[in-house]
Amino acid sequence: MGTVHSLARPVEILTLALCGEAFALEAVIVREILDLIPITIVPNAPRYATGLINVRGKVVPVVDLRVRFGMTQEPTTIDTRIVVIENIQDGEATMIGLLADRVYEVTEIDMQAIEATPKVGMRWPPEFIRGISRRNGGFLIILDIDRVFASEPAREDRLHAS
Amino acid sequence: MASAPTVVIDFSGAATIRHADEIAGRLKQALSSSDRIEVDCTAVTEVDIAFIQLILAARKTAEAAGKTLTLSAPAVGALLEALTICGTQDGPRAQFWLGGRAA
Amino acid sequence: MAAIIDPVETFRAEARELFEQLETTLLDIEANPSDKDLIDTAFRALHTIKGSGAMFGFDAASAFTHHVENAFDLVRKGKLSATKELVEVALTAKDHMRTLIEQPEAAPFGRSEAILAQLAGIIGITPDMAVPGKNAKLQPEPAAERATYRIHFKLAQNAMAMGANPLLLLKELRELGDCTIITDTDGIPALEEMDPSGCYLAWNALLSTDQPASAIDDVFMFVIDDMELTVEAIEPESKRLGEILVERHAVSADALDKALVQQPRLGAMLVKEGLVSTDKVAAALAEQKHLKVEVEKANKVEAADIRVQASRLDELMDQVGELVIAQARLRQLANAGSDIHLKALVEEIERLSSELRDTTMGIRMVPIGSLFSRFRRLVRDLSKELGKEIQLTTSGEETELDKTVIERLYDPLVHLIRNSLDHGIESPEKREAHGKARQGTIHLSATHSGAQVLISIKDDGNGIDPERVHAKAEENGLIQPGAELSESELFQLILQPGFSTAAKVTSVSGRGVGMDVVKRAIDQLRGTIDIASTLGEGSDMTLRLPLTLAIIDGLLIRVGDGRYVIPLSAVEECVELTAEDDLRTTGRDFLNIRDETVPFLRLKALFNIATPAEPYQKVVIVSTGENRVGLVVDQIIGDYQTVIKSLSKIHSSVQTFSGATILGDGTVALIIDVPRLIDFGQACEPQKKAS
Repeated sequence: MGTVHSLARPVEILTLALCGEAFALEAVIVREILDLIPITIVPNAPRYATGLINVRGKVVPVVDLRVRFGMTQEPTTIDTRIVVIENIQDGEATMIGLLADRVYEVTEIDMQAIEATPKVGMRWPPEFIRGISRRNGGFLIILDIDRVFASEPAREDRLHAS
Repeated sequence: MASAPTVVIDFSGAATIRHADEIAGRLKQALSSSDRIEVDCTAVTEVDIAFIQLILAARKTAEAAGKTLTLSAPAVGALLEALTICGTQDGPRAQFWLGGRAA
Repeated sequence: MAAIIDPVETFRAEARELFEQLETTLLDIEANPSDKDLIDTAFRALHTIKGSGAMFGFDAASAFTHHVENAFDLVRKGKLSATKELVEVALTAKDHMRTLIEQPEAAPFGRSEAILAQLAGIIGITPDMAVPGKNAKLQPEPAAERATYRIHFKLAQNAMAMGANPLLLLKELRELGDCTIITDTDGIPALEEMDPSGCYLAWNALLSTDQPASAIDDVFMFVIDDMELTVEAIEPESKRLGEILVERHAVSADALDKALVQQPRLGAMLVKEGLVSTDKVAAALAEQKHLKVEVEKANKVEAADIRVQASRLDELMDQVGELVIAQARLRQLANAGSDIHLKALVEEIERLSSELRDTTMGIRMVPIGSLFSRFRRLVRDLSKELGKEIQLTTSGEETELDKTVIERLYDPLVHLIRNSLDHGIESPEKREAHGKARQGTIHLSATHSGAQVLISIKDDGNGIDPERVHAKAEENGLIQPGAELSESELFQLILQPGFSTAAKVTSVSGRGVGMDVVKRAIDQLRGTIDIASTLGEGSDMTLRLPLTLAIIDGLLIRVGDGRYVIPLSAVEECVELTAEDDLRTTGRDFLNIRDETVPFLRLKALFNIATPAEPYQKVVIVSTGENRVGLVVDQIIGDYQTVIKSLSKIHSSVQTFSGATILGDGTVALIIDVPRLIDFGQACEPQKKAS
């Protein structure tokens, strides 16, 4: 969903914060943005997806991209949000909740203005990133959500021993 | 009317149109000789519409003359089969043919 | 959203059912060649396939079926016997018909002719001659809608003398459908006025048939001269006696109105008044009865025959699921307050929604017999191919299961039955050598057991050799050399990926897919497989399946801050965990329940829940067939009706839960997969010992 689009046209994106860094994902895949609600922990689940929430009667997994990207987990704050997106998994539209430290805004970005991901010096797995855009003097990391969920989390310890 | 003894006439074998005249003759004779006639059809092996009509006609004649004509036993075998095909066992005549036995 | 229903697809769906029925019937005929009812059933199925096939443009299928139908017509009339050869050809023909209807383009050229030639060989005449003269309509007559006709006929007075036999006419009329015949004796004269050979009776008939009206004319074809015959189509609706009499011209409307004033027994009244004869009333009464039956039948047909798309049922089930969740929330809200009226209302709604749930689930329930009957052909054909003599017996066909479960059971059952055929049951010679009957038996059965259905595939073959399984498992690295396992543990290894005990690969089973495929399919249905076997005597595979995939009754429990649902079907009892038992943590944890030792698992440890230990822990004793295990929880909250929501792919690696559900307060609770949790617990055990 949303991976094929004309590069010439500006694309709507949602910007959010993870560990102080600014990330963006295509607004078209966002279903809703929730305040932090009780998350049911799934014992022995992959650490990046330890919980479940109820979104309008549907059971939706909650994914912590910070863990997925190997960042440090910060405690939740009043600004913590759950961004519910829709992603195609095994040919079926699946809802996924993404934890965000903060959600900024929906804005437009010119896809031609984004820069390729530098091969070195990146803290995040490069395959999950579509590109980088300069914004307000900082960087905006544009995520490739399909890739984030398409690949098996090989680097992730599945049954983390405690 | 002085009551004469019951006359029983029995038919056996093929009771069909081929023997219609003979059957009619026996029924007429019985009707003229008694007030109470019993017809025994239990030994009949083949029956057609002609036979059924003759029995019905005999009964009608008997009733008109204040006499009674009954079957000595409820219809069985070929006769019952023919009656079933005709649907005669439904309705008011069931009593006559089947002696009140449910079809 | 409106679904367009393709009439051709509908026909195909119906044809599929007919083919299934036909196959079953043919196999039954093979066993009971003289059963007239079976022959009739086969004939009718063929007749319908022919008729509706032509209606939907499957001319080739229709023309082909026509010949097979004729063959069974001969059998029906006693002119041909239902030999094994005939059944064999008919089965082949059935498969071919199916191809002609499902994928006409895939039908091999010349196949129809080849089969018909075979058929003709059995009948002993050429196909063209197999068509009886009178019915020689290669274009099958269009199947008429069911209609009801009022028929009146009176033959010419000399008709019987001329050779006509009214009994035969009536008989033919009765064969056309549901027929009520009333003889009108009003024409009978007194005996002395009567021509003993004359025809005086007249007949009134009510015929409800799906044959066209022309079929009625055909009956009277040879006596039509000089006869009175009226045939009128009437609407089958419940009518009053008076209306019928007027319609039949038995009484005038005026006279009827007069008589009606003097109700109640109209019939008796009219006869008494001399307005109408007893026979006329009898005929009208019979008509009234016939129409009533016909109306009831029409209503019944409508009620029995609604075709609903499966997706709509799924939607309905989803919505009922949502309702159950909303209702649980309502209950929680009502219980928190003190409004008695609200509570009463909630109870009412609870009852209604629970009934609605049961009804909806009931709609989805299908007897498993239709699935079982599909295996008869498989067993018959495969045993032939393998040179074995095997009979398939079944029981519990009426056991009902969720439609989806039944559909998804076909493949695993095929696999298990093939396994029994191929590896289980020995060749006739070998069986004889072992003192067994030449013919082996596979018994397929289904029974209800609480909220589960048990399906067993039992054979009297050679059984499973535990030693060979052990050797094979060692060879494949599934177990350590010399590992000691119980027999049931050992047999469970068969279900592991990559395990196959078959020494040689045959075309029947062992096509590179092992029993792990079966296990995966059954797992997906939240079922389990028990394997029992006695070497030399046979084996028994028992599938335990939930009745439905959508909703279960559960026991809601709490561990730490988390709430979980244990399927109630697995729960045996709940007991207190005494401080003494709690402290005994050396080695494995055991509980003594009525002198029986039951191992227990601490969910808090298994789930890595870090909250401090609580004083009054409970143990829920669960069972999975042979295993009885206690699960230590912090609190038992109570019974809970649970709508199962599956977990997403993201959590596919989490084995211990079969799904999740939404609780009354809107939060999510996980549903424990008991057998897998026990496996997981046992797998963790050695680690614990080591540490």
